[in-house]
Amino acid sequence: MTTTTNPQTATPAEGHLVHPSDRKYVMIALILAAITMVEIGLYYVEDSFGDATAPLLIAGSALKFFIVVAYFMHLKFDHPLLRRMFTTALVLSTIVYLVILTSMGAIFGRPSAPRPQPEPAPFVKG
Amino acid sequence: MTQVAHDTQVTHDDHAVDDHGPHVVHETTTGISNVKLAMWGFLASDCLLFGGLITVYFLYRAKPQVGIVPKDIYDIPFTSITSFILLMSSLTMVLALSAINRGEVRNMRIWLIATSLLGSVFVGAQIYEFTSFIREGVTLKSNFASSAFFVLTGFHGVHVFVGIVILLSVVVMSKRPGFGVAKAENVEVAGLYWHFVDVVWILLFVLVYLLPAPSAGL
Repeated sequence: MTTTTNPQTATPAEGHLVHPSDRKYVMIALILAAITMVEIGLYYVEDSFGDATAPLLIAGSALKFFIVVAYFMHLKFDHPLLRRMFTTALVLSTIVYLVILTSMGAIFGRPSAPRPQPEPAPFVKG
Repeated sequence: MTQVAHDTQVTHDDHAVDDHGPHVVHETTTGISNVKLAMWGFLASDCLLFGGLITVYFLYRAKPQVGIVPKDIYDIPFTSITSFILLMSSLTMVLALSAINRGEVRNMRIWLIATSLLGSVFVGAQIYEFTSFIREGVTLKSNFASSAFFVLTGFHGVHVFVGIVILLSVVVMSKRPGFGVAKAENVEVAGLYWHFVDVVWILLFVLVYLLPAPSAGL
């Protein structure tokens, strides 16, 4: 069975994937490498940025994450259903795990001291 | 006639392939190939798996530790180089897909083998790192932080190893007669897995290696 689609007007939903050129892929890789170098540089000058270091590092890695997913994994050009599916899982996991980390004091607070454990009751035979 | 069971790739004519790849219509209810949809579903679930492992790492890292923790003996220049290697493997992977979309099977094989080699270097470097940590006295059982570190990065290493096996399988598959543009989806799905392994490392490199110690915030 043959189905005709017009490549000029076809949408991702119709199966037409427009991939970037090789030159664009190389440019994207260079951008990713540059962000990585900035991140490593930030690690070495951590004292100069103080508390801003952690958010800057996380922002850099998030940017790299979205560039790879959008361009190398073609999610930007692919079917919207795939985008929705992956974004839902990503957002859901981020929210759930951030809530867990916040509620247990692992972020936005200093590590808590271990709670003293009660002595177990002695086992009495009979 | 139901179309649910069909997953046929059809092109609008024999010359429908250009630099942008084949114009493929999948006769499924979603319009997406089942294999591709399954891979994205798997990757979405893997987000939850790695999210859980990262959470455990942060919870354990925040606890008071006994003995040497991995953070004390990280070799950042070494890990930076291996991270860069894995990042570049994503480029070679996407160039392999680009090659097969143009019908260049030989070039696709070259890029896939290059990707596998870069991945192998990364896995080798991780084994070297683990070995040097163990030599320093940091093992899986040393403390909470080291347990979480080995499990998290070890899980990722296993993912990279599986990725290498998948890529080499595609290389072997491409030796069969008839492998061409019509089979580009196999390369694309393998590439999706490989890029996911790369994006996970993008996060792990920052969250595990570069982020300041817990006392300084996150």
